[in-house]
Amino acid sequence: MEFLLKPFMFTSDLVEDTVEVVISSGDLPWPQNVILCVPLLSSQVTLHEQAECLATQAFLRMHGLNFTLDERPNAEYMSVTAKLPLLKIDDHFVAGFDAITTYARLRIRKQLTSEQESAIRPYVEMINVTVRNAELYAAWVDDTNFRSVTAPRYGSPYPFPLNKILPLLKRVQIKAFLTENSPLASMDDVRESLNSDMKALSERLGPRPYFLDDLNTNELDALVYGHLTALLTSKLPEGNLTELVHRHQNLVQFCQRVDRKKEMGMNSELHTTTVVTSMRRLPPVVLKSDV
Amino acid sequence: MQNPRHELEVWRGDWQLLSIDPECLRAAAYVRLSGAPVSIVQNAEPWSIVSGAYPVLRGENKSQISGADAIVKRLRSDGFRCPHEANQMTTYEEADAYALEGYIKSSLSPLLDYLWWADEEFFQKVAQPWYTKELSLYGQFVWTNRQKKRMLNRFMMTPDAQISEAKVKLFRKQTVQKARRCLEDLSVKLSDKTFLFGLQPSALDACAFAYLAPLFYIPWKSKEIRKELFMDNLDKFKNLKLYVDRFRKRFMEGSAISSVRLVQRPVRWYHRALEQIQKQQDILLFATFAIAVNVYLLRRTVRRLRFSWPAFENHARQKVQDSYAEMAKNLGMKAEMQPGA
Repeated sequence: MEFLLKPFMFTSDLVEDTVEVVISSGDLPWPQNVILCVPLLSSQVTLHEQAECLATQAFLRMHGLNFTLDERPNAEYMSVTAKLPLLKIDDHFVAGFDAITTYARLRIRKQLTSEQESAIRPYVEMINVTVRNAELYAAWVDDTNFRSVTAPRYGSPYPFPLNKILPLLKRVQIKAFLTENSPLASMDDVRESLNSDMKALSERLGPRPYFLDDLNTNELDALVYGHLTALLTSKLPEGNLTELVHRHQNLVQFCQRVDRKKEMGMNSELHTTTVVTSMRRLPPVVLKSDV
Repeated sequence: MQNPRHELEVWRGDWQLLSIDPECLRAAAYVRLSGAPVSIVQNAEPWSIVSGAYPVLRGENKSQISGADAIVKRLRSDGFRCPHEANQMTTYEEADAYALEGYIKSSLSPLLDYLWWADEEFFQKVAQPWYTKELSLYGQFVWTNRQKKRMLNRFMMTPDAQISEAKVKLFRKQTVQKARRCLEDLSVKLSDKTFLFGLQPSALDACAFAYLAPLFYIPWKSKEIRKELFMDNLDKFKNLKLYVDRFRKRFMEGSAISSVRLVQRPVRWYHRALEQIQKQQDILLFATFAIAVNVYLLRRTVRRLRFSWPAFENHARQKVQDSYAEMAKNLGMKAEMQPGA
């Protein structure tokens, strides 16, 4: 059984080292050839991954940082820590929303003050822990949702026996994680916890356009946008999660606003998308040192 | 909930704390702040509860509510609110309080768990003796080991992957970083106010106190973590330390402590024997060792004697052969039939 679980395991702490090296190297311009690797956004990606991919894209686009979006079915296996999305910069990788924002924040002109940072950190943590756990539960643990949406999507790029086995393995792992780390026990709990999260976010946002500043956006805005959009567009039959967001109209309007802002920051020449749909003929990822 | 027959059962305390467990402390602090008529019971038998963990609120008809979150919610719905919440709390502050509670919990509770269970020096020198003092035999030998195993397993899990043993170090690094950031944020948030939202305490203060107090009061052993969190020279988090002291003196001591009942451990017949054994542990250990060595030497000598004494062996074989011959004779068979001849 162990060898089957191997792709999900940690093999090195490359990512953490990368971030440290970058921080110590000081203030640098945004590199040219940056590739953002994500799973297939239309057919493969599951709820929480979709949220994080959307958030990362929104963050980079809002700040005008150019990148090439690379959709490939094996993105999860490329990431050393199995975190998504994966940012490839020349020779090294940065994985996960938090690491990417830490990396990018050093290259943005407008820095947050330490007070502003400590004001948004509780909300970032809330989304990364409670909202994320609720999404994991809704998508992976609930039987109806798992069978009708998550399992077919997650297994879609693989041939027959694998497309049944891999979702089940992933589900076992996520169940084990949730039983230890969250008090969620049913879909009612999920709805309740998501509802109080949404309420807190809505109260915090109030009538203002963005969370911290009236003009500028930061990673909290990106993260909230990613998770709310994923919830609003989710097709999970059980739980009725979309309705939870629709209860708070200012959050829905906030999403539309960020959508517009994101498109303004987008330069069509800089943002190209490559999509690889077949698992069989994957183009290799070329590192700079190989060229 | 008008009658004081409601009981809040929490872990026993030590090191000037009402309870050693942060979640129990949180529930107890909320009871104190809101002035709900609930008496607090200190106990140490978590395996006897259905949910398997303190705190538990016991009401009439044997109803039980477990978990600090559920208890706080229940008390709130029954109209017992903290002074600040009852008077003037804006929706903006409510949202902040909700987010901060989750933030404190998710960044400090892994650190406390790590310090208590995974720091070997602390566990052997402080935690285990404490359990020996407070728990019954089952707790000391079975529950503690199970809990420790469970906790260590938990440290190795992340939402995306399972880490190997070697990655506990990485976990430690991340946990300490996260906790330090949280302490910095709280320090900024508190600055020089009496409570987090000004002059009157709220539910958030109960939560903050519950997670900060064990960090400051329990004598943690790990030197690196002490250094990284500035536990020894508290210039950086001085306001937090003062805040915790103030909160404890005002709400968790003196007249407040009088309604706390401690469930005594029943005296069993074997306790005296155990005490004697503990007193004379060294002698007993030495005696056991000496006896074991003697027995081993004796057996070895006997075995060698038996193998290096052919006369004895021949004698035994002869005896067996004789007995076979006699048996054959009695059965009326020939003596050549005997085996091994």
